Amino acid sequence: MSKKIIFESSEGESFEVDEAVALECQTIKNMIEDDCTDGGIPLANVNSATLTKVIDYCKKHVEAAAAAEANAGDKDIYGANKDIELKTWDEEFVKVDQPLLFDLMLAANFLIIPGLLDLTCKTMMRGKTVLQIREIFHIKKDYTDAEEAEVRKENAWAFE
Amino acid sequence: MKLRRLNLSNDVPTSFSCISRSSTAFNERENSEPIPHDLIYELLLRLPAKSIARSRCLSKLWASILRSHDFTELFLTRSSTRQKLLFFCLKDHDFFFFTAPKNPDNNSSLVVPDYHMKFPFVGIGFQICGHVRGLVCLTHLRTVKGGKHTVPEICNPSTDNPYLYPK
Repeated sequence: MSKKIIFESSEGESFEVDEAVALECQTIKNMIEDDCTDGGIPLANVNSATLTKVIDYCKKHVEAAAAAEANAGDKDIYGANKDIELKTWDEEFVKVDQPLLFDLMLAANFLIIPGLLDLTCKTMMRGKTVLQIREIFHIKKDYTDAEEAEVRKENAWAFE
Repeated sequence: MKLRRLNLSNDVPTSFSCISRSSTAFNERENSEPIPHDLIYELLLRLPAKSIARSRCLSKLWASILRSHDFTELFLTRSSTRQKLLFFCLKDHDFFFFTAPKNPDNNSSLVVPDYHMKFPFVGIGFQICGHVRGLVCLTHLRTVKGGKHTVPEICNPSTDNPYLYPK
């Protein structure tokens, strides 16, 4: 039986996962290597809703990697389809509300899950206007109107 | 417990600690915290050049990050790992630049290149001389002060700004 790792969310809820799944997180991988995971890993900055999603993501990607390895011998169209299937799964996975997406991005950054960080960052910024991004990230507009007009003029080609 | 990589300096908000929040209706929640400084880098490094230019309009802080030497070096390093093919064509009196991924995601034989920019071209006999770090150098013949001369021109297909050299 594979070794289990226990995560504890900010609400104190425990989540048991296979070690292989936990290893998807670089931060946890370092901790496992340093042998300091006994008694569970408290994640004071990741809430249960986010942690559930993060674990789903890691599980799916571990399964997909295992399936890809099992099929490594016959690299045909089937393998390519598997890639597309995982990509589609990823796209569905990030169809969540903005705050959860933000939390997932923070968690991916904190736990160091490169694939998830990439996915959430790209989704976060895709198709957003300057005003929307300011709102999402609580960015204070520190330009005067004249300064902003000037910067917009300098970068006018990017707004075409 | 060891958390490598959280070695942020003191002036950077390491705001990982307040994610749990008293939420009302799920959809009415807001991000409760400002985005950590290192994550701004992570976000911006994944953007195409056009979005980077737009992001300069967000605030002075974001603009200063985007103009910093560190960022441009990192951006170049990251983008050179996802190489693209550059296409250009000359039609009437305009140069058109397109790119396509070098390794398309699927096995389709059909690739739709992304259009980047065009710039007017007035000379004849153009030649691509070379490229370095995303800049392309080309030469063409142009009538300058009554005589025909080979004129070099440097352009950055990502930013839509042809640099004429010499002016």
